[in-house]
Amino acid sequence: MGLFTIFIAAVVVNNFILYYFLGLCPFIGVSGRLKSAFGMGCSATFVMTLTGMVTWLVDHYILKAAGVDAFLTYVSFILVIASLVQLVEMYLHKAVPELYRALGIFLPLITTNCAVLGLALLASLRSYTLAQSTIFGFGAGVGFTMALLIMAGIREQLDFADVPPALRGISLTLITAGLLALAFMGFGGIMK
Amino acid sequence: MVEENHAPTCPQAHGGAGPSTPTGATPARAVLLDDFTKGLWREHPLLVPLGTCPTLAVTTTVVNGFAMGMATGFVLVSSCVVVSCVRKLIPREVRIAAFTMIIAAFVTLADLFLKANFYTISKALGPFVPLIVVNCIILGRQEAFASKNGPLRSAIDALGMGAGFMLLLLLLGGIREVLGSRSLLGYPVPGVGAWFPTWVVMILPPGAFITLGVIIGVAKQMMLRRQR
Amino acid sequence: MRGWGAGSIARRYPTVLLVQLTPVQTFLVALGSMSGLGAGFAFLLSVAHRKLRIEEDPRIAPVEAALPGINCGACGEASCRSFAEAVIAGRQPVNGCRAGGLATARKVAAVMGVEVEGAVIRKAVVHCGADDSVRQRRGQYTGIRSCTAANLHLGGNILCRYGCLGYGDCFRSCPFAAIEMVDGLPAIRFDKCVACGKCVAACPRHIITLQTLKNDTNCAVRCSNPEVGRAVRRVCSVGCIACGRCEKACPVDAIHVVDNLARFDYEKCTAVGACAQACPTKCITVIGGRIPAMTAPLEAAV
Repeated sequence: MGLFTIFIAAVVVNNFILYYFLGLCPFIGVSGRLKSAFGMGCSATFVMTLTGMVTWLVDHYILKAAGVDAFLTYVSFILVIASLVQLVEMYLHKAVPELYRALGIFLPLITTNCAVLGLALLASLRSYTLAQSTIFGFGAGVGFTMALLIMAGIREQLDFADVPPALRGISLTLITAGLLALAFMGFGGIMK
Repeated sequence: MVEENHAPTCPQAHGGAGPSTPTGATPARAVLLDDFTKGLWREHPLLVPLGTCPTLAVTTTVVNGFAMGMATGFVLVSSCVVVSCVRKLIPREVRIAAFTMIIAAFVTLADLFLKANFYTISKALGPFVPLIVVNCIILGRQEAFASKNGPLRSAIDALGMGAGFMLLLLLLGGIREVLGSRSLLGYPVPGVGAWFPTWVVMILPPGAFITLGVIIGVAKQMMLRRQR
Repeated sequence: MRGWGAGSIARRYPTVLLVQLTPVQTFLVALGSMSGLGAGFAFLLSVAHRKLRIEEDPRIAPVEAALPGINCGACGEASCRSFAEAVIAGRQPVNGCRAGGLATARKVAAVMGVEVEGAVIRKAVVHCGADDSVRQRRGQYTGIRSCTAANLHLGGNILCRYGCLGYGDCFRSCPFAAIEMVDGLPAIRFDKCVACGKCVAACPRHIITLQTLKNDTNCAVRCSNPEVGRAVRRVCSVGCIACGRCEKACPVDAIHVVDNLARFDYEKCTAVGACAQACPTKCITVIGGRIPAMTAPLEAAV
């Protein structure tokens, strides 16, 4: 698949949140305010792009080469992701402190984000090349950020609405997500 | 509105740790019972919410939901017990990484078992079996409970959470399967025949989101009414 | 789901090795590769820890620990951490954390090794006295129940163009729950208000101001309408008509009528209360202490 196709597919057609159900915990938790949603989305995109690249390298040069990918994939991928997030956090703190302060609290949250591990596994399953894997990670992050921002915008408006007490919070967020997913299904026709 | 403080792990991953017993003492039966039942309703993981990803993705049929519930339950109980046994040995700074490694090992076991014995179900569950590794429920329970209590209590707590999770999976799977494909557990439902136009949206993502949202809304309403 | 089919499973397990390994050999290979991977990352992380270490002032952490940690922004910094750094850098005074008050100021001063003067008393004051019983509406508003939104619609639906609309934007903006809506009018609880300024920003009619108070108790003018007395009388029964009786009554010269509106000089006000007694429309009240802002005018002269 061409790189652009992979990118578009990851952003709108197979949106990680609204189609693959990956990354729902931060989607529900962090989408209350636009500012935090944007921060979370940016850090997630950054980590996902890097993950796409590094997990491919580990997968190709260590796991498949040693023939242990049958049972060591999950352990090694999560090891890679956790270490990567830690390294990124340390580097940002030193090199770009303003960015670190803006994104800081969200970086540790990303380690346990299903979307990151999910993207690594998907890229491995589909046997992407290094370039494809990186673009896939980037597209996944952009799609994640987009869904998060849309949801944050909607939830900020919902703050003024008269919501029945039982539906406040998670319940209404999930229903709104369902309507969003319905809307995004319209993109399905782009890919053959 | 007070600003939220985000914990370094999943948001709101800290559930109740319950009353702690002195080291070495076997906890009273009432305490154990409470440890088990709180996962079924009062502190149900999905009310936080934790673990929404697999709940929505695999409940297209009841069988898939059941399999996911069993797999998650197995990983939850075994990893909580192991964490509880080694909790004094893990330094605080690396505890999340250590917990995740332990979980990943058990998830690999579960995944290989499913692939070998229930291949169709494994294929249907797809990536969500390996994604149990990052399921917030497991990390949440380990951080909130297993790392602070003995193996027996941790096991019971994990069982309770797993049971609560399983019940929700079955409920959601049941609704989606009946409305979406006119069947239950693979068999046609009596009374729901060809006259019922299947709600295909139920099998697709939107239906999943909306159904879970409505279920949680109903559950919260019941809780609110009980509080009054 | 696309991408998870049987074909991809087959592609998932390509074995590069030509021989089938025995279980023991597989175990050793697994152990070796995982240990190698783990060791590699452990090495990377420890190198990074040393190379990317930031030499930060050891006082920042204890100062940050002394702060309330709610990142309210009242001090003007983005977060409690930024305030801690600013105190160390000398950009902020040790008692700059208004949310923490005197207790926090003492703790921060202890870390910095300086003496602390009392924290400044700064509170939010509401300059409107028209609650639901007094407020005269000029239409029925069925839009979004927000003061900002209502204000955008032809200047709001109450007769007075400067008065409180009562939809509670200030109430919702307060991170310390220091505002209570009593009969559609905000009442500031001085025991919780830290003058962070969020309510000031939230009010579209700028009815709330932050005042630096010398004492615990003060008087306040509950009106923001700068039009002449006749015009104010037409739209509100409790507005300031700029008659000047308060100015004449005040023994400490703390109140003056400027631009058809009585205004306080809080440097001088000692809450004598003569102004409140003299006011014909009863728009001056006593605020502060443990009394919420919405009290009746002072009963007896002090």
